[in-house]
Amino acid sequence: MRERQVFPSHPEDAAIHFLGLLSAPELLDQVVNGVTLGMLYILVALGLNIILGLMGVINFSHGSFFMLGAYLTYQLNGAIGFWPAILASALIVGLLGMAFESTLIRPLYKRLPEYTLLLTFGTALIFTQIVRRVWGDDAVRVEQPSYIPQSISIGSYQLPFYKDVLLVLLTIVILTLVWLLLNKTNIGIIIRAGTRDAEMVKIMGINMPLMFTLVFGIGSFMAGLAGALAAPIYAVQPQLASQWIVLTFVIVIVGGIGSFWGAIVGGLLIGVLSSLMSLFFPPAVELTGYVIMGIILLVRPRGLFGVEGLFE
Amino acid sequence: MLLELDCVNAYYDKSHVLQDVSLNVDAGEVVALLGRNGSGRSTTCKTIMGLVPARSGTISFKGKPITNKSPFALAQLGIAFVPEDRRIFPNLTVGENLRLAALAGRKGEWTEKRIYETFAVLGERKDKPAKLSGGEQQMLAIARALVANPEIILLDEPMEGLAPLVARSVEEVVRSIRSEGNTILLVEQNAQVAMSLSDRGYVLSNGRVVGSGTIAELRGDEAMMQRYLAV
Repeated sequence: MRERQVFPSHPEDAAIHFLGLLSAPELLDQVVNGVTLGMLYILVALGLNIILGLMGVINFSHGSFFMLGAYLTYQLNGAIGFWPAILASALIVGLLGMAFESTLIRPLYKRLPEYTLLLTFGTALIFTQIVRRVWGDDAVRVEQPSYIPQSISIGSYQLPFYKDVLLVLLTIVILTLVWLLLNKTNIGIIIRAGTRDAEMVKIMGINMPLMFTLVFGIGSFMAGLAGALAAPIYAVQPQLASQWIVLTFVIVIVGGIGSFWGAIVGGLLIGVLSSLMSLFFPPAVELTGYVIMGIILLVRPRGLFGVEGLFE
Repeated sequence: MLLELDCVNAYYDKSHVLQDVSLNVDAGEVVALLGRNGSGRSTTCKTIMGLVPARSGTISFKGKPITNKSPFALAQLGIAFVPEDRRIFPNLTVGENLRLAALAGRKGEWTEKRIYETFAVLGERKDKPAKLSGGEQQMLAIARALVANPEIILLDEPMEGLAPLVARSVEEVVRSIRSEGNTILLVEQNAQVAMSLSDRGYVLSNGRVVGSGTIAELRGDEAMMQRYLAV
């Protein structure tokens, strides 16, 4: 298989790429890479976005739920098998999210949003330390099962099967289910209405405290699921939480708070552009998201798909 | 007695906005809360609905205390609140606005279908986003209350901010739901309109009940009408 990761390691290499010596397969590689990365971003960001949109909770522990999903999959993989481990990890993280919301966050709803921000920032540090204590500082690896083919050929082009095909397809299925939940069910009506005016939903007789717990569980489930699915691709390590949470917030801000399509477009945009940046100018890869966020905040502060008046 | 307030006191921070407010509403009655802006009429509705806490006093519904219960529990008991700013969900369709209201509501004669028969303008837009004119918003706000089949509707300033002709049509809607025997606690700025729609009334001033009686009695007390309602 051809060497896929073509990261120019010196600025002069990047300059050569800029001079037009970049090959089409390299570009395609990075676009595909970016889509895969974007799909995971979307899953994490959408969960965060639904929570932020409905409850106004700025959940800095959301990245920890992603990390826990990956570690739980590592833990359970040997015992119950790969796919059951992924599902069980996501469910456990979802339940953990519900317990987290109903015990720690609920008492803070009547206070300023900064209180929950500080609380979840603190718990994120705690989660990371717990993970260090249980699984150690070093990265662990989750092996994908041998029955999943390593790669698939499309013409002369070789794609890693799990990462670039299965994961993308699975994410599309999950996103479709989330879309149906939001748009075709009563819970979806409540979530969409509550994102606009949670108090009015309460006035109409909906038990919002219960809904908040449920939705927090759904959002955490999605973060846990993304972490579980990402486990075979990335080195599973304690830094995952902090790496992912910041970018996830960037995506939510770029896409627009409370917006389904915002999370999707924001996730893909940042995934693909950061990936391409690794070809053109690797030192700026980490900056890509922030630059996009900066531009968006200057030009359209509510985000690409954000609603006017929401959290403004 | 369907709804009863006994010496209810409420505050916005340090300002004492409801002072020993006592009033009651019987099933089938339309009771008006009259008074100038800032007299505490809307706050009375919000306090009943659990949106402004009552610091002392008792609110009871069908003989049971409901003071400071959560708004959703009060709605489930059969109290519907139509706030003065209507609070339609513009990101939902008209139909979804109604379905949301019916979710936790009670079963009864009002169904989504009957709403569309009664309010043709809503039926035409049931699958469209609820980006409506002021009058249509008010129709939808009232329809949302009805579709929950409540025992009492707290109707806060239904005609506010509407063009005179539109206000007239909303007034007719209120008149027709009144004629079907619905119980309403009505807040209305225009005292003449409010009295023409109501059986009894309470006059509020600076957070206190300063007068009450049947509409005929209120109309007869010219000194009070002059002083508190300036009509």
